[in-house]
Amino acid sequence: MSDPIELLLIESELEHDAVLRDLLGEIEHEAIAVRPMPSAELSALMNPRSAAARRPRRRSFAGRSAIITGVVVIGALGLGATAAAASPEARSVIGAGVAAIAHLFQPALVAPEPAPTPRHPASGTDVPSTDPSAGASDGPSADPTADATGEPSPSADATAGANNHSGSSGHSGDSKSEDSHGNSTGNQSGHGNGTGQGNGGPAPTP
Amino acid sequence: MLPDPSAHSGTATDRFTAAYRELSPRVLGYLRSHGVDDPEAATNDVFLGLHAVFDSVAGGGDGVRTLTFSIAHARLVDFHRAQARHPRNVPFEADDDPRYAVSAEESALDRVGGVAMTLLQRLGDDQRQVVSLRVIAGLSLEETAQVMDRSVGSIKQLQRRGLESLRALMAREVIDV
Repeated sequence: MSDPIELLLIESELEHDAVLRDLLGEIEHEAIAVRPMPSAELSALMNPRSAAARRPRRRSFAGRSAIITGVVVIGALGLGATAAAASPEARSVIGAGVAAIAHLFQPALVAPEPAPTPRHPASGTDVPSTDPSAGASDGPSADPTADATGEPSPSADATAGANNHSGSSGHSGDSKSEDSHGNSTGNQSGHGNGTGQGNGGPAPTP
Repeated sequence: MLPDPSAHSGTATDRFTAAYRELSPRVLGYLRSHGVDDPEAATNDVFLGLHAVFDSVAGGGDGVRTLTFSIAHARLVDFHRAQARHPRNVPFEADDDPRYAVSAEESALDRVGGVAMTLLQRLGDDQRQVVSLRVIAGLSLEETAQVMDRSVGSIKQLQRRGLESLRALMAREVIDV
């Protein structure tokens, strides 16, 4: 019999009531029969060592190397873009390198098609890939009479705009047109624009 | 035996852990006897509150016990206030329906365990709190008065009436059986 119960009975002048004494003992026994589980926060307070062991570790070496590789690739892409904007010669070299690196790191994003045509301006090898309609319109550009009949279709223009090299290849036969390209080759899109002018209207060269 | 928080033997963590082991079943039983929804979570809350002030507790082991049940009593008051503000909606349970008549077998099983706690739960709030703080928490008359913020005289009166009510409830239970 625990002391608090005996004390309680004495204070209440019921110390001779054995039934009540048993009942109070039973209440105490039932009440403390269940031992609660400490929560995670409380366990950490009572067991600081195991809590410290459960703290998250630093990023693994593989994770860090992946981040470094990503930064290097992004830097290389940025450098390539800057150099391409600054120098047409560097553009062709670095652009090809960056494209190769991007192709290596993103195999899933590249469609399983044949390799894209190289980005060399005014390359003679690009001639066979020229759209026949663009070639046909190129000829009439020197001939004003063909303008009425040889108006290029929007689809042909779009094709030429999308494929920058097709325009330059179309002009490869004409030395004057090539000169005009040389003037307007500030960037790759300039090639496409030049081609569009050549296709659609009178010859841009003086 | 509860450790003295200001003792120099062992670490503060060890003393707190010893207090938890000694008192947590009693705190859980005290909260259960008052029908708290989630008594285990409430018990954890009580000891988190105790941990925050454990090093500054005065009065040795008795001080720890009194403070622990003061926190538990405060949580109990908060629980009853919250329950009064937001009545709890519960799904229908056939076993909880008061029109449900227990079978003789169920009645016998109920009496095997928990009948004493059931009798305690039938007491009025104040009488139940005094009896549970005296019996389950093991507090003295003065400590109970301190926890409930009442005079010793009123606690003495409440505990006497509570014991007499318990006696009467038990006699009625025996007659029913």
